[in-house]
Amino acid sequence: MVTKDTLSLIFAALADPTRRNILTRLSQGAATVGEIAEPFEISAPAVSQHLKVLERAGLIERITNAQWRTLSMRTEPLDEASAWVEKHRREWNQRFDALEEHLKTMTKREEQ
Amino acid sequence: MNMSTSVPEFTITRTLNARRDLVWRAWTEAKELAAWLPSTPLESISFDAREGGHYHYTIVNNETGEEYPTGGVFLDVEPFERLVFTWGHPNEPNSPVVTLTLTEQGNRTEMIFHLRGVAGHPGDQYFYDGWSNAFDTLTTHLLDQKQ
Repeated sequence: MVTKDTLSLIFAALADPTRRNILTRLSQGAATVGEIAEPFEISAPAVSQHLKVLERAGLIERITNAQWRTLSMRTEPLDEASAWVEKHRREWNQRFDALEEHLKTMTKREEQ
Repeated sequence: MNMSTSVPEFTITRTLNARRDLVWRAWTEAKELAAWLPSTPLESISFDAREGGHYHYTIVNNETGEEYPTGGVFLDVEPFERLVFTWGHPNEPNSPVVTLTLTEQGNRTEMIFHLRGVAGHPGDQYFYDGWSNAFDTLTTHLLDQKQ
């Protein structure tokens, strides 16, 4: 069960174009921070800030070995986002069944 | 995993067997909302359906008495046609955004309900435009990677 806060972190992380670009890059395979920063005309601290946001949302993980520190993408949070969407779609569909019923009542009321 | 459904947004389209002005009232008047929102007491509903106006309602779980306050702000209001509002916990700054579009089809009304998983922050570049497209690009790209 995913908490609302985790989802807020995922959605907020995905809401930024630079962070989406970083994910797109990482979806092609793991990369170093330097490789990630290269195409962006932003400062290293700004890149580092974006990476922190993605990490907090669980969308990336850092792998450290003797020589290299690389970043890789995690797709599980996207499954969670997907489950959130399905739940709300179902709920609103149920509401709209009730809305249709009520509109019948409203229409009848108008005709009287 | 299915990347195509991982986008935190969705659209529900319905053709309603009612005139558009009635559908509009069902969405904007407390008395009508109480009739179709799930277990929402009329006295918990306040609606100020104009741009910048706020709304609030509370869903009550009748079995446990638990309350779920919901609220937001109207971002765009075109009477009978378009209603755009944030939707979430009343104090949540990063709420999802609902765009409701109503189109007349004779005595029927086509209702397009779009819910986007996050609003972004007012003033950022992706608040309205670009966000959706950019996300589509990302998911399409990720989908390609999977294949």
